[in-house]
Amino acid sequence: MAIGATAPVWVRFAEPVLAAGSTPVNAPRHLLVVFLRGGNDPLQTVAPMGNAALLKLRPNVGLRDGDMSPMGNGYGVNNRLTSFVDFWRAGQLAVVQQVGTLTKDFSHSVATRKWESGNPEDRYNSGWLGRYLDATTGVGSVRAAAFGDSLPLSLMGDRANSLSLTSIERFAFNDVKVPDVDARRVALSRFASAPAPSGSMLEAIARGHQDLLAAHDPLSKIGNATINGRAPTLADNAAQLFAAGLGTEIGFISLAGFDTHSSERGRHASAITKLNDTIKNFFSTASKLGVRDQSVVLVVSEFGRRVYENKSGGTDHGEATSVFALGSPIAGGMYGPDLDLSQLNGGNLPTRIDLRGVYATVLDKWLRTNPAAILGATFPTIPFFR
Amino acid sequence: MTDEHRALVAHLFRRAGFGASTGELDKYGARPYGDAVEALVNPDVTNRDRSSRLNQTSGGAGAQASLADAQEGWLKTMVASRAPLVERMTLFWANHFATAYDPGSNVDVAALLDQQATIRKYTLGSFADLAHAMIDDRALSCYLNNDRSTKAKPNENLARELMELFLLGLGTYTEEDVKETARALTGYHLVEAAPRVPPTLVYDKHRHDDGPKTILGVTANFTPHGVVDLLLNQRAARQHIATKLVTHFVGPSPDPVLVGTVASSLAPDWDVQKALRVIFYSQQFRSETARQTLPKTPAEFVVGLMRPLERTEVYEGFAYMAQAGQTLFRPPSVAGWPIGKRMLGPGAMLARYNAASTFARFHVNAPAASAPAGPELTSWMEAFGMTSLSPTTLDALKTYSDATVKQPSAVRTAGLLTVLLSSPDFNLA
Repeated sequence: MAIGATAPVWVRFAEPVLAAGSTPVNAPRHLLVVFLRGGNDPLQTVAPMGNAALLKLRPNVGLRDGDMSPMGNGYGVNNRLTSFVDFWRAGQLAVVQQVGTLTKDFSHSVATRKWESGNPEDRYNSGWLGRYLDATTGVGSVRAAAFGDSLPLSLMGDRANSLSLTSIERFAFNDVKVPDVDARRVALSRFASAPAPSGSMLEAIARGHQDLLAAHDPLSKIGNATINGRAPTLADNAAQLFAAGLGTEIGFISLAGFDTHSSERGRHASAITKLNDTIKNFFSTASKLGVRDQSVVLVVSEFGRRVYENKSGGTDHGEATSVFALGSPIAGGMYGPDLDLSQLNGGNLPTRIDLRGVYATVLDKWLRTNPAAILGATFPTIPFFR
Repeated sequence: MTDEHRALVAHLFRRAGFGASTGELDKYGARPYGDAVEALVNPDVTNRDRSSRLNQTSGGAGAQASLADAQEGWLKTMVASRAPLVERMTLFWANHFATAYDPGSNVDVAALLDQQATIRKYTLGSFADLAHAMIDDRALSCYLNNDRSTKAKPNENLARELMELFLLGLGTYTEEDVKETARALTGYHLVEAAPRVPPTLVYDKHRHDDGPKTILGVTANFTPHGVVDLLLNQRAARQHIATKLVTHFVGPSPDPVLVGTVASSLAPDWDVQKALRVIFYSQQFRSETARQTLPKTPAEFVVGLMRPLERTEVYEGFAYMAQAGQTLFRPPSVAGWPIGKRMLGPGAMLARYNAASTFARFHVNAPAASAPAGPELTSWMEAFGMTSLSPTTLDALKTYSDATVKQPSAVRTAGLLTVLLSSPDFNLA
């Protein structure tokens, strides 16, 4: 049974003052998922201020008031996350607290598979976004793109129009300088238009060649040209892809370094700085390219961390974590239960919101599809979209 | 023998190996089909490298090997092997008992290399022996947290995968069976012998939950190996493994009759060689229609172009395989690497194309390389395991050739090779 059926599903207990612009009704919509690998510590990200009991449990690790920017509701944002502060003030940051899986999974791989599949019944054969892509029709050759070595489980589905790339610059034929390059491309275009029986493997091979040729030229034009005065980062690349006219709806970026078993203050600070850069760069480029208001960033991680610190100045694997959603379509505020140290479960923040409730919200309110078909059941949505 | 026979031999070598060489085609094209099947299923040289040029220790170097060493070593073994079906089946079982590098959970390089050695030992032998060995395997056990499963708090991960993915298949057991199996699998833990020495997975009967368990309707005091025996004795287990083998070698939507025959052949001793013979001799496998049902996996693609060219650049080969979606020792989940049409997205197709163009360039830049020598299309096509080309590919090759008459021959050789190796024909298994 979903946790939501017995416990308070969500409580919107604090919201910023302001309202911001609206999203055009039928504009293409983009979702960038940022997966914090290793288990992000929610209490080092957005935490209650002036909480002596909390600091007693994490005397070396914990954020002091001076480490945080007040949100005006008793909570503060880690000072390293300047972008979060800006989005909060603009009413465009949702913090969803105590999200997790229904079972206690303290293994990175198991918890990650549950988060990425988004449906324990499916048993890891596909990802929640992969099934979204299967269930819906897109308009271009690259509906989803993940930056990294290989396609993450989140994007795996039966159709193959998801792309994994290490960067836009490196999504390139490696023979562009050979004298016979044009003749080679003519051959490839023959393969892309090869006749094949409907539904056959040969058709899928031809389709792969078509999608490759369709994606290649627009991406090679983007290349590694400076944007916003810097060599493009992966976050810039994500915004550039959304604006490239390839029908790209989903972007996926993984950030590592959140498994802070020791020396957490320094390690987490440097990991969270990468998150801050990702958010800042993505939105500045999205803004420049005119896709900012059609873009939402969802920040997730496979689990949270133990509330009390260990003997190495770090924290061990925990249970629930916080999810963050940013962008102008977001109804800024805090969602989920208020932090209650008397309600810990083996030293962990217990899961109060099934992660599938977060996914259901994104699928329903942002991607405009029926979440039950993707998630295998109905989950209560959380009103963090405008 | 006929062209049709030669085409069948080529098909067999593509599916049961990494493509026939011209020499193999000549040899087995002139002999009964059974000779080719036996040469693959019962190789007289087990996993020896083909040539002195490729003959180096492979598979990494124990505890000190890096992940990259192990990954590249594995690819090198596949490229150089004289027993290609041993390699195909080793990869098949490594995908079946999919285990990913995760040093934080003690799935380190040493554990993965040990696991691979174990799989190799049983790869064409008894699946029952392999299944028993896998529950004692540190890599798999740690990957699925069985090293941390205790009497007081049994962890269900290994039990669930054992039933769903490894032995039985969905819909053949209940949640209660999973819970009880988890109890039966308790007793393992890691022992650290010394600092910086990888830990050992040890079974301690005092840590095992020795109470009675009811699994699939049978009540007994099941031990870990006892429960594996119970599952292996189910009809569903033979059906599950047979389905997976037939899907892998013949294609998706496997014929239930063939699956049934293969399943029967697995009783009672789980002889993998016997099951493979049933598949390779079957009408369904030999049929024309089976020849367009499967794409090459990234491993088959990369190994299939490195072997005929005798290339040794495993760093590049590994990188393209990874970009095409198959990172050795790092399957994306316990369900293994993506299969079928999922392998053919634009990023994967780019990786395949770049692999073809890169190895074509390596070949042309190293004129001393032995095969394929001539400019004649037929000899090339056959060197890469194909006995015919589709009209589309022939047309593309001719168009390329016509457009490049003024180019130097090295340029055209590399170009033609690239076109041939990125063709739909070569992308098919």
